[in-house]
Parts: sequence; C-alpha cells; structure tokens
Amino acid sequence: MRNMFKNAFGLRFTAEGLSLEKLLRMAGEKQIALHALKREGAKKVVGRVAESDYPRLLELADARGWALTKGRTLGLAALRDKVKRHWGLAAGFFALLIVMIVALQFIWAVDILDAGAYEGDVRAFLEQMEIRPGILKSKVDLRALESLFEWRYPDTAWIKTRFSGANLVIRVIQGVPVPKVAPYGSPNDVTAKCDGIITSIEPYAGTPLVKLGQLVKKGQVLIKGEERLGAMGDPQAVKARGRVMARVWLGARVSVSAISTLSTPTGQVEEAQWIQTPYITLFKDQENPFEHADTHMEIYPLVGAFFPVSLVRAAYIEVALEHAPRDEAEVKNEAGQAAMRRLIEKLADDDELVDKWVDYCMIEGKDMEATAFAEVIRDIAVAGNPP
Amino acid sequence: MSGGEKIAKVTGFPQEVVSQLPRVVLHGSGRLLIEQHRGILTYQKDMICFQTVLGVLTIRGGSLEMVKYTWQDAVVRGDIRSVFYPEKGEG
Repeated sequence: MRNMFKNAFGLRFTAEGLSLEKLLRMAGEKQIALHALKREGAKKVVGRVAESDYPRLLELADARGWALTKGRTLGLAALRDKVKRHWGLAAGFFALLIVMIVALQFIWAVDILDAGAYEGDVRAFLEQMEIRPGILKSKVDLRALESLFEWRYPDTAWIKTRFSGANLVIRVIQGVPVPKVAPYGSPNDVTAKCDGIITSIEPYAGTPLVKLGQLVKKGQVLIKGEERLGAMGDPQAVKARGRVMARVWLGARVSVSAISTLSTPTGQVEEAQWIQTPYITLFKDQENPFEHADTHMEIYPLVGAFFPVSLVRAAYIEVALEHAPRDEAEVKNEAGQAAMRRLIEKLADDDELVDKWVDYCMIEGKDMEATAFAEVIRDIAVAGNPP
Repeated sequence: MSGGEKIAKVTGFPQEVVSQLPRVVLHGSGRLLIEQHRGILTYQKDMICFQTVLGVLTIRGGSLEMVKYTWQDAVVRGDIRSVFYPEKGEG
C-alpha cells in the first residue's frame, strides 16, 4: 500500500552516459524501484521513478558522472503541480464543492406525487408547518411528518416522504376501495347438487371457494361467479363453470314382509250380478258378505260401442286366512335384491362406483328392511342454485 | 548438490525459497518476470542480461523494455525470442 501511494507520485527521468546498466544496478542495490525503462540509444535510457526516490537516484548519477534529467511529473504529482499552477481554478472548484455541500443541506423544492385531490391541502399543511423551500433539511423530521399526514388523511393507504437531492418528495398512495362483489349464492355461481367430499376441482370460469377434501353440503357455492383481472384488479362478474368431482353416498331402502299369508276356502259361496255402465251401477243385489273372500267375476258386454253396458256376475268364495313366518334367508335375499335394484335406478351413467353394500334390519319380527348403499365419485357441480 | 538444494530436499520447501536460485516466468513471448536476480548487466533494445547465482541469464529479442526494475525482481516486455543461461564452461 505504501509503495502504491509512493508510486502514485512519480516523475519521468532521462539518464545519459556510458554503462547505464551500472546506474540501474546501483539503483536496485539502493532499493530504488524504476519503472517503464526504455533504451533510446546507446547512451540514453528513459524511465519513471517515484518522486521521493529521485534525489537518491540523482545523487548516484552525480557521483558517477551520469547525466540525469528530470522530466514531467506523473499521476497525483502531476495533478498536484497542475493545481499549483492554476490555483485560482482549484480554489474555485473547492469553493463550488463547498457551496454544493452546503446547498444540499437545504430543501429547495417540494414535490408532491400522486396526491390527487389532496395536493392543495398537502401544500397548505406544509405551509402551516413552515416547511417550505429554503428550510434546513435537519429541521424536518420525515417520520413525524409521515405520521401527521397519515392522521390527516386516513383514507389514503400510506404516505412516504424522502429527500431526493435538494427536494423534499412526498408520495401519497391512495387507498383502493373494497370492490363490490356479487352476494353469496348468486345465479352466476356453481353450487353443489348434493352432499359430498371434494376429490377434484377444475374451474373453467370463476373463483373456486372450496378445496380438496372439504365436506360440502347441498346448495353450497363451489365456484364463485367472479374473477379478478390481474393480481390487484377489481372483481368482475362471470358465469362460473367447472367440474367438481366428489365422493357421494347414495342409499335406497326397501321393506319386505317376513310373514306369509295363506287363504283356504271354507266352502261357502255367495253369488251376485248387476249391470255396469261407465258411470253407474244398476241392479246390484248384494255386496260381498264375507270378511275374507276370493272373488271370481265374469263380465258380459251387452250393448254399445260408445256407451258400453255390461252384465257382471260375481262369485264370493269365503276363505280362512292363515299367517306363517317366512324363511329368513329367503326374505333377506328378496329385500336385498329389491333395495339394490332401487339403488341402481339412482346411479347416473357417468358415476364411478367405489363401493356398495347392503344393511338389513328386522322390524318387530314382521318386516325385513334392507338398505343398499353405494359410494360413487360424481360431478356435483350445478349452475345456479340446486333444484 | 548445493546447500540450498539440500535444505529444500530435507524440509520440502520450494527450492527458490530456501536458496538464491532465480525464478523466471515467461508469459507467452511478450512478458518475462525474473525474481532473485543479482543486478542488470546489459540493457540494449535486443538483449538484456541479468546476473544470477547460476550465471548470466540472457534475454534476446526485439524492442525490449523494462516495465519494472527493483533489487528483488524485474519485468521485461517486448518481442522475446530466447532466454538462456551460459553453457557449462562458458563465460
């Protein structure tokens, strides 16, 4: 570092005489560093030496009879000499520098940016606070000023103050009002047509309001009918569209009697006959006299294609009823198959069946109730409110 | 084997550190660095000679200049054609 500083103040020299190599060698022995040495003839060498080493080099040359000529100064030494020669210019430059440094301690202009309607009031407030061009920067507390502005204009998002050169810059960031959003459950939304657990969401338009694994209820909004244009854009109403797959459970219940009834004729028979028209019954002599009976009827058409009249003959055959329990396995099988048929009617063509099973329940020893369940994955998205 | 060489062999230090052997580095054919010389003997545009413990190191070429010359090292710049020591028994 010391050598670098030393070499920054350099000067050119010219050495003339015989055996100049000896001069160079002796300079080396005296630890005088020489630079940019160039032979310019049999008796002449030019080079550069540090200004502080030049007297010692000159002493060496004088002692042995070499002619050493001092050339122009180089680097910082040249600058110093120039300043010495043009001291007026240098003084002017330093004076200008000082003036600039002093001038930068003051505020010479106030820039108010993005203040909009507040700009006039901001200027008036600054005037009231006696912050005007010409005031020392050190007299202005920027943090306190920001705080005062934020209290004064609570509707703004924030206010930033800073110095830029000799200017005081006040930037007002206007608050963005909360956008008006369509109410929850508008006809533009996509809602759930049944309960389920979400397995996948593919929104084509609109904003999803549910996430994977979430339990949703029938009618819940799945995709909201609005979109933002850009990260900070206002929400825009759109017709939501999308595919929302969910695990859904379906059930179908069937009840089958576990008791069989047998009817046995007692031998008593009563007969009756009457005339039957579409509107009235004529000449019916007797109703069914038995509590339990099998009825055998014969119908004989009498007249008319436009007004049909028939003779009806009925035979009431009394029966005795006998109740007996059915085979449980048979009843269970019958109920289970019926429940499963009813369940299949509830499945849609594009449902993906995950699992199915049947639960059985005997009610008071008389009825066998079978409930068939199916777990399916289906699209539960429906536009607007579900039916 | 010189004393410096023996010490370098025993200690494992580089030879140029423990002995006074010159170190010459040639960058292409345009720049040469020489360390641990013992003074300049000849300086002409086509030849520069340095005294070293191994004898006279001669640099031949054209437009030779010395970018730096100190008691420790020197940097030569120019069109360097050859660098050599005297043959045994010569000079």
